[in-house]
Amino acid sequence: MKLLRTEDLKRLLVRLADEGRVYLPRMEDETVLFRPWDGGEPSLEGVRSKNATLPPKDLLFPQTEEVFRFVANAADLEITPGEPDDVPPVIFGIRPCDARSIAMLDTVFLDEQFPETFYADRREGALLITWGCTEVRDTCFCSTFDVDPAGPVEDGDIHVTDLGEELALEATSDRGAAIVSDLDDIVHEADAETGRRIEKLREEVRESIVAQPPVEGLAETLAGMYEDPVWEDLAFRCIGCGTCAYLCPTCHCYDLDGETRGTEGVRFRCWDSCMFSDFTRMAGGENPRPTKLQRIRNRFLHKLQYFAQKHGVYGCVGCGRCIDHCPACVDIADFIYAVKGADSNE
Amino acid sequence: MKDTVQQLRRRSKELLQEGEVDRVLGWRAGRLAWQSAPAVAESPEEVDRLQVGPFSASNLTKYLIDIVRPEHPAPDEQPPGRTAVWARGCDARAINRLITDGVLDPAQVLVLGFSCPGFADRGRVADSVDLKSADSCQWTADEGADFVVRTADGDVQLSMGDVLADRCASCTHPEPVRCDEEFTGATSAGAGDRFAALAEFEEMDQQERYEYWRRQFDRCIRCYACRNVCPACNCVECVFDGDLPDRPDWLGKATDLSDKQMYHITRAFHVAGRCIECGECERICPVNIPLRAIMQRTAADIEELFSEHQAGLSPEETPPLQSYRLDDPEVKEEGST
Repeated sequence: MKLLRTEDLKRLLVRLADEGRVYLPRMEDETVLFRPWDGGEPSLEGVRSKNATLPPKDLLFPQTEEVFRFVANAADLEITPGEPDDVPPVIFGIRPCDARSIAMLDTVFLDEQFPETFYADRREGALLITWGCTEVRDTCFCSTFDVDPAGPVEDGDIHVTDLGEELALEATSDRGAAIVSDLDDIVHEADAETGRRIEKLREEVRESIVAQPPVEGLAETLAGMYEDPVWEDLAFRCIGCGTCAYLCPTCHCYDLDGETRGTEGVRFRCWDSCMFSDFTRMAGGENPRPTKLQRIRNRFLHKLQYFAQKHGVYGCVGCGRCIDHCPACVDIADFIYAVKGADSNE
Repeated sequence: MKDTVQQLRRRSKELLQEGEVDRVLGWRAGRLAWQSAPAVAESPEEVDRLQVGPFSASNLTKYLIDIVRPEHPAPDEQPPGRTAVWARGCDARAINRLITDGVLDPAQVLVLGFSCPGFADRGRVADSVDLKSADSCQWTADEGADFVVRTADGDVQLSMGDVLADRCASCTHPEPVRCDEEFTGATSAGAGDRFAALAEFEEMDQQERYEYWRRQFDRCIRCYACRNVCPACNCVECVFDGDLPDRPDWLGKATDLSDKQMYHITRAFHVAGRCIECGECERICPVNIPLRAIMQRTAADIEELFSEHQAGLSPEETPPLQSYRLDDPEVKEEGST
């Protein structure tokens, strides 16, 4: 484990900039967003907040992305494929929950048989600098899904632990190790005392996660609850907005849409939300999920049953953003407690 | 406030027992201390879970729309009957909004009004209390405090004035402007400065304002929460819900800045003169766009251009932008008829 003086962070970022375009969480109007580093002295306000408002998902899976352009004349059709930015993202300060969510997006988009090439291109060169949480929100429940909020976590390349005046760096991939080995002039080896201090800090962070809804056997339980009245209460409350899906680091549904002017046009891919009433509406107007109940049931079952059945892990990392921001207090952790007949106060 | 809640519960039970109403709309406590979710009670027993807490922020009116105008009625759908609603000033104004807009028949609703104590801003409460250790929130009659946050480390007493949400601080009508039965005894949030959010913009020149709003709208993720939570956004089908087979896409689904601006400008114009000033749009915006300032600006302009007007104070109102008068000063000036 190496220690970097926090005031030398810029020098680390300069090294990271060799690997791609560096993004870090920035505080903007009380909202924390991953923004490109401007090359100046970095502000720590964003990365030291209790996680970014929006996950950095859009750096790998943009909210809107051009798939191709076309010119269609009477005689021929000319198609120009969209080209993703060829500079890979270096995502600095990504939290363990969000780093795990990228492993989940990999499962979906890097399928061996049908890889999603736009995602794959961005993902290939991407570098993740994970940042251990030092303070958690009351909505956090990542440890439920075996995410370690303090780290070090294996879903990235270098793990950072914030010690105030110093930042502890641990390489968690070969690429990360190569970068850390280049930093000899700005880092020094951590002594045993610092190691003990870090372990104590991490233990405190892990213990501060209050919610631990029981997820063992959850997918199996839910498989028998398709017609359960539990959905009615959720559907009553839900206002059908896209906040939960668009703030979710693991949601990955998208739509293909287009704009055409005369003989030219563009086809693009954009995020979609299963909570929108037109999500499943087909040409001709038929809609297999015409009610909120069907839509919210699909959202929860996708995360907690179907994804688990298909990929062996739940499609949620417990970041708590949907709980924090739902206009109507729909709470996925509370839902799990209710389904498993458990008490959230125990 | 505790007494008011007891009175509301007692009366709600009576109404259900006597068959006067089919259901009662209120709020209920959630898993976390600051959660207070919209809730419905269809039997006297279910009324016990209804509460009004320091965080009961949601405007309940959108749920009335779901009841009287189900999205996808079942073949054997029963008529919606009559719904009792626990209503503060903003809820009552929103009910008037729905009646004016022809969404709600006054006979379908029974308004149990109460004077609003104001609601707490979660961020401000979190400055005084570690919400991770908080179990629940309760009103208190103790001197110098309005509510108590019960935590693992003991009770924390808070005064609403110290943690009041901005939207409640600028509220002009905490009392239920429309109600069938009124439950008094509650403290009131008090008359605020309706246009308080506009002050900071007066210092900016046009370019600065443009840059400011560009930055705000650039953050928008088009989740449509501001629309879905808004009582004035009550169209059966919204122009922004795309992919309708028989309608053009007025707005691309792509999320570039011009699409986002187009959405917000269109919504602002559609809601202008009809916004009942509950501030729900701003409360729920996940990326903190100060949406209330836009609505305050349009309301201030309407006062300047037309006449004094606050939406939702009466179901008989004609929203200024939905009326046409031959003696309109603008028409006279141009000398046309």
